[in-house]
Amino acid sequence: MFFNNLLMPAFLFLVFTGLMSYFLNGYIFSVFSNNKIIDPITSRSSHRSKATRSGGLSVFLAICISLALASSTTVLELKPYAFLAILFMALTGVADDFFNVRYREKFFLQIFAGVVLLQSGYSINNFHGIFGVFVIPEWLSIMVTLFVFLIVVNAINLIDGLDGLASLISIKFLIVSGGIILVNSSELFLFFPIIIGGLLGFLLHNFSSTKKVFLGDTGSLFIGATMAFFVIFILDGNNQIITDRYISRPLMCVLILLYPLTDTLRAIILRSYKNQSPFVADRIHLHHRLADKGYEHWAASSIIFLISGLILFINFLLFQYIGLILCVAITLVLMIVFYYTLFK
Amino acid sequence: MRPLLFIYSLFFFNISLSQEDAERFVLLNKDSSSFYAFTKTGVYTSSIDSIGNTSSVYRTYADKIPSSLKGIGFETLTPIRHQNSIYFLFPGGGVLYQYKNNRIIRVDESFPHRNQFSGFFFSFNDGLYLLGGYGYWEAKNHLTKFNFKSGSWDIVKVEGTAPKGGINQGSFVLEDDKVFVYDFYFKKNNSDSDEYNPNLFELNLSTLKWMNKGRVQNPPSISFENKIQKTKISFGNSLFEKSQKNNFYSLTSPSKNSVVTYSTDNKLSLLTNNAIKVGDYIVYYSLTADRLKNFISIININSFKKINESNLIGDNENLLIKYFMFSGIFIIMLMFFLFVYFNIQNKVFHLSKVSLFNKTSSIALTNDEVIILKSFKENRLENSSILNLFSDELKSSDAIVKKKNKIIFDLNQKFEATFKFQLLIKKSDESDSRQIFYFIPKRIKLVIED
Repeated sequence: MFFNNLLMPAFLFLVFTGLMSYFLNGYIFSVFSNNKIIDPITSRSSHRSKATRSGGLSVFLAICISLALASSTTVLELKPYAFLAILFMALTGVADDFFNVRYREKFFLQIFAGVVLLQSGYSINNFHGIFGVFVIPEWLSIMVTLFVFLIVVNAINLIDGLDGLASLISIKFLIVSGGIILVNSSELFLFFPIIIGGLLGFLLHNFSSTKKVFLGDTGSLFIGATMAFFVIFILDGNNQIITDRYISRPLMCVLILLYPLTDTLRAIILRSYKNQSPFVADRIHLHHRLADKGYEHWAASSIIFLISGLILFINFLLFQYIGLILCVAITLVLMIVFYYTLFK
Repeated sequence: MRPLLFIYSLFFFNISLSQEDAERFVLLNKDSSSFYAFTKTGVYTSSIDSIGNTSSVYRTYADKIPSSLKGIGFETLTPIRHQNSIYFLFPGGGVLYQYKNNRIIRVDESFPHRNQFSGFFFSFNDGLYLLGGYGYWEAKNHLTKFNFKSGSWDIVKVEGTAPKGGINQGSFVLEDDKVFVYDFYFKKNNSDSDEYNPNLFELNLSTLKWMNKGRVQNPPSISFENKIQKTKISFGNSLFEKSQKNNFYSLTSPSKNSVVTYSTDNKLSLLTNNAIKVGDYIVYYSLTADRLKNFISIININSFKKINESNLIGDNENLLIKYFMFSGIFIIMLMFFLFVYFNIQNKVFHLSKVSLFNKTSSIALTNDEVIILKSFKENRLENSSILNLFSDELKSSDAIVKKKNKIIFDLNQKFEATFKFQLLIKKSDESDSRQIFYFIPKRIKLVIED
């Protein structure tokens, strides 16, 4: 064990992974560009210059290198089945970026990854008092865990439509869940600075005009699967979570994924209303509205990041005093206010 | 010969019995100064006086013990006082005996289900309960209650966050209507190995609800095998715990979130896991060195020095608050960086064959405008060079200058209308004021598309 204190290794791995990710993003961008593996500009595209979908691969490689280093030098503990499921999702994303995997096949592969993730021993086996339900039967636990896995993975995939949006939303998620893990399962904590570092290194390229890099399906599926694992970890009734004293676990999980969940739900409802497939690609997402109103991508992504962070913060402050139902009501009111003031 | 005893030292008072007659004991405290030592044939009632001397009275049972007890080590029974009676639980649960009218009788109608080895057998209100345990390759987290009417054990429905994967070799503390559980192993799905659960759990017996209280900050690093040998004694609202290998013991009080460690000076090296607390004394039995006799030892607990005191679960709230403050600063820095990055950095514009655009907007360009913009090198272009671009033998110099000026004026006007600042700025050379050149502001970067 090289370090007893987690602060210094966390900082070192944040910087190291950030630099590694920045370098790899630049390098793989060049490789993709030289081989003409470039993201085509279509009517839905938000970019007008040359861009590649190599970000996810670069971030994934940078994170893998850091994880290998961290697990051999610090207390970081890898959960093999969880890592396998996330790796599987990342590889599915690579295949999708190169060969365009059909949605049905991708869905099946996601279910398979979810089943592998279940082998890690973590599952949503407890509703933590929502609808008065606590422990749930194992068969239901498996179903709910798979459902949540699919929702989270696809929600992150679907919001990856503006520069920096998926990364910033993921960073918000990782910051909050990182605090919980730091307190209750410190052996997993270094994941968070490593992943955040990987995303920061990527962000510099994602925001670049000359060497633009997108996360692609590799990145969104990889980050989505990672987030899904931590959501399941937090909702696993066997894991002690310090935030139980401040806020209901399910509410907290919804709030840290507020934008992906609401935007995905809204998109699915609107598409269903128009008799379209819920998975069809279009520009009806909320973030597209901000971009169409003239906000630059970074500004639109930052606004969404800050609003969702603010709503989470307000809930954290109020939950102990007003309880679940009023918190949900306030969240809905805030969402409506923000919708009409910013997105409408 | 039956008993009895000889005294070793000021602190050690031993009841010695021949192994073949007395076998081993089941110890149970009677009150703050006396205890029972049950054997297969009778019971000692021993008193400890104010200076630590003991005196014992032996009484043979009125009847032989039930035949179901003959095949097992008598000391493996778990005794408990419940509503002025004494009960003994068969190892693993199920079969229950009562000591009544100087007889040990079986009171249950069940079978030795052997499903809850190492479970916590306790009395609460009018019930006898058994919590957790291990049996048939599974660790359990269920709570069973003895039904005095039917003579069977019924599972009590509990809710909340129960320890997943069961409780094996746990440490239990019963305080009022709460059972605290920590330092235990469980079985993971599809795994034969015993996994350690580092959390402290609380089962509220009034509401029958489990709660995960937090992560034990210094979980004992002893192996599962050694843990079985660990001595645990209920000390009121605390739990005495000592590993055979250690020269210290700890008193853990979950409700006070406290762990106090005491040095034993090697005086508790023979402590066994059947020990009990009687007043200020720890009472236990062990074999003599020649393994021919058992003797009971009594040690004054007040003789040991406190060496450390710590929290059972850490000051997690403080850590979390510090973390979120740090994260807040990180987010502010990230937002500030993005703001600065996008406002101070070079504004990148892409020049195609027909337009000039950045990430947010674009303007259409004429062919002449494209020609001028493509001629800029390092954001600077001499006036003469621009004029050369439009040189035409058929046109006068004045006409060419007017054309150039119009093109630049129109371009600047379009650009300013869309992007709110001028693209091409006219300036005189500092070394020669007659030389005019145009430059693109330094913060603007022009990227020429293929």
